[in-house]
Amino acid sequence: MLKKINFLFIPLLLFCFFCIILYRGLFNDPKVVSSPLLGKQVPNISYPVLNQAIGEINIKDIDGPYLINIFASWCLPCVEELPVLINEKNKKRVKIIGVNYKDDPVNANNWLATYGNPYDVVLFDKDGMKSIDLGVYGVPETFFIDTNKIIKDKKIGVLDAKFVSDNL
Amino acid sequence: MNYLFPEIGNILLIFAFVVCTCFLAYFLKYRKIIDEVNVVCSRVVFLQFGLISLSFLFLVLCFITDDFSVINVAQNSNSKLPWYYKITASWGSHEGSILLWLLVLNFWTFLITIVPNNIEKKVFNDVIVVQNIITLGLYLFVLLTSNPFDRFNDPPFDGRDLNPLLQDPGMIFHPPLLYLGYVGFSIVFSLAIAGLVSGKLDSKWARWSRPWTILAWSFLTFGIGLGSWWAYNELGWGGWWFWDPVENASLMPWLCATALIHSLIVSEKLGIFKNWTILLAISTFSLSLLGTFLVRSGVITSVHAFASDPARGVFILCFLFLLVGSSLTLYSFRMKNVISQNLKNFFSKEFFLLLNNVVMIASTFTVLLGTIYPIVMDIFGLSKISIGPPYYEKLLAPIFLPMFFLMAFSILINWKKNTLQITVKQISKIIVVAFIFCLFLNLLTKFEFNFVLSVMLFLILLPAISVFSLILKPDNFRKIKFNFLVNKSGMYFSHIGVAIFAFGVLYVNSFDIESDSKISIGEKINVGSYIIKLESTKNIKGSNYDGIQGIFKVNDINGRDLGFLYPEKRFYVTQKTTMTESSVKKIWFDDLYLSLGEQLDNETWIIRAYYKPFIMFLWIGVILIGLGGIFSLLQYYSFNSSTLYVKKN
Repeated sequence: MLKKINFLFIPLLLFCFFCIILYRGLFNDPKVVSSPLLGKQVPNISYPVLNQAIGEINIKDIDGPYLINIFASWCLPCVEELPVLINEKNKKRVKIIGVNYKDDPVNANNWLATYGNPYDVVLFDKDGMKSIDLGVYGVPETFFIDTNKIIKDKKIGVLDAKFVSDNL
Repeated sequence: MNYLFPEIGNILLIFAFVVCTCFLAYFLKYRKIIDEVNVVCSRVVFLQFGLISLSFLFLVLCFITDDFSVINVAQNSNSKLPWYYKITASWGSHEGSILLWLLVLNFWTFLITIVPNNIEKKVFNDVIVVQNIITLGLYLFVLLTSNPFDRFNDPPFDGRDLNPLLQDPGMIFHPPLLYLGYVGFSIVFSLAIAGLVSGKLDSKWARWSRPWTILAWSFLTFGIGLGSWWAYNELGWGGWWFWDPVENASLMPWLCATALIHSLIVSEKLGIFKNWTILLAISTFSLSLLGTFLVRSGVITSVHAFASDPARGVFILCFLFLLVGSSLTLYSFRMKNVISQNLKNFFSKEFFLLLNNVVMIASTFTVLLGTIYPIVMDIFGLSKISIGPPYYEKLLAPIFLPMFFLMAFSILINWKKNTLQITVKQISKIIVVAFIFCLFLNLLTKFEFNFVLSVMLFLILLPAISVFSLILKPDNFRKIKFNFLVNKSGMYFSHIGVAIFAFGVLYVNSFDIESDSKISIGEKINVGSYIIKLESTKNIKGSNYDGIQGIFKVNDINGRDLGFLYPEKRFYVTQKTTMTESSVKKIWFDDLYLSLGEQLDNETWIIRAYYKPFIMFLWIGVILIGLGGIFSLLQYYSFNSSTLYVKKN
């Protein structure tokens, strides 16, 4: 008899466990993707500069604080977040480093000419291989690097004005 | 224009809520006077149904009259939206769709009070009460977290427009059918609870429950099928099933209900598997509620993306927890008192039905696991992942394929006792026929089938041939007794439908062609054995969008003229979104499918072309499966059910 009662309680127990998972899940924003790189030093990555045949810039050599903004001319949300970046450029609180991601240089230049160029320098990652070390997930994506060259925050998707203020 | 429509709708809604609460209070006090409660039940249900219908009507009126002071209208409609989409917009939003849920729930409760049935009065009262408890939860949900009649303080000039994805005729039938399906499982859920309370879970109980389950299941079948057809034909997604969490949310109750229907048959006939049947009845409706939770809480990301604030999620989750938790508690305490017969014969129809049930539930769990696994990983901070079609295809194929073999068995063999010799003879006949068919189809496709595909095809053919062997049994014709066609037509239709559907899936997945290519005006490209030529493009204008249309000429490889394809790209002005309207050419059972991609320059476009062989079989299959359900209901009501069952036993 005892055995039978235990058996009948199994669905209830499973269900309770399931509800706990769902409850916890509710307070996770599926769009927030944490990165194991947060709180760590900027990785050593040398990018070529867009429109320059020779010379590379290592992002570790740039003095903080600065933003690394991953963008591409084929990316529609990148256009959407441009006003935020341009606004930030005018405030001159941080440097803005653009990384042109999986793109064609001609298209990238056209895009910057059409919509405006908020970047202090535009780096180029033709096939997206270099940015793997940064843990790039997709475009647009923005990293905040502080004065100690530590990756303080990252944002996947369209940037909002708060991102920089919150981290300064 | 501003009328008092939202206020009237709101008042009707509140009134319905009050009626429901009063009824439950009344029941608590007078539940012993069964006859009187019985009369009150029907009236209360009728009243609530009337009130909610009117309330919904007023919501529709808000949309038709462009009352943008109502938040819901302003966010989901626009003055330039065609009138018929204004009507569908009323269930296009979160708030509206929950009101539709409520309306459908009331409709089902109403249906059970008017359709003649021989449910005992006490059980009937309990069913109505459980239905009202569910309804009460929904009223609170609508009134507290998502009232569709809320107004703005200062209203905007015009609305934000309906999501262009939803501006499609599919929107008229898909959500209501889907809701009719999954809300309909509330009836069997209530019956299960009522049965547990009274402790009488005999074959009569199973006989009351089966038609309601089948009816809801048929609606759900059509609803899911239509959704899939819509996504495929109209939205230009290029596929018919994406294993998206929202789709899974509707598939899980379907799989569970399929198991339930079969298990109900066994419980009705032999009085076995009772705890299993009750558990399935509770699970099916729980999965429907879970589906609502997943879709409405924003806990998962999905292409359907109905994300909203967590307050709603918390509410639905609490509701789910209280309702299902208490039912399962009741189940675990009460079920031990229910006498269930034991399975006596292992070589029998009931045993194979049980095996198939296990397969169904295994597949339900697989889908459930895939759907919530990303949430689990996220909670434990392991990683952000999303689970795609390869997971489901790899795991479900080995689960479903043996099912076809079991299906053939359970169709062929008898209840209770079977002679090994006769069964082996029957099965071997079926196997030989299936083998010949398989070979024939291989010849027809010039051996494009490889070994694995041929085995799959062979398995899929088994149940269909078994059904035909039953229909074509010489006995049936010798005695000129055709009621076998009426009695079991539902079963025949559904199982042939499953085979046809599976055949379509096998073909489409193995032989479809997909190509992205650049094309300029006057150029030709090849897709399989067809040649597509871009003749010209043309600007078009709709009431709320601008667009461009490509005119493509289609020929087959022998030069035969097959007409034109007109894919479109539309820009919806208010929502600033671009939508692709694909164009499909049907050639026998196959589809040639074209959608317009990016424009590269004045004359050059990227186009995406698909060739989907035998896709038609999918839709035919789904229709047959659903019709099977409807036919088995007709059989239920065309005979005096008691004599029918006496005869069979």
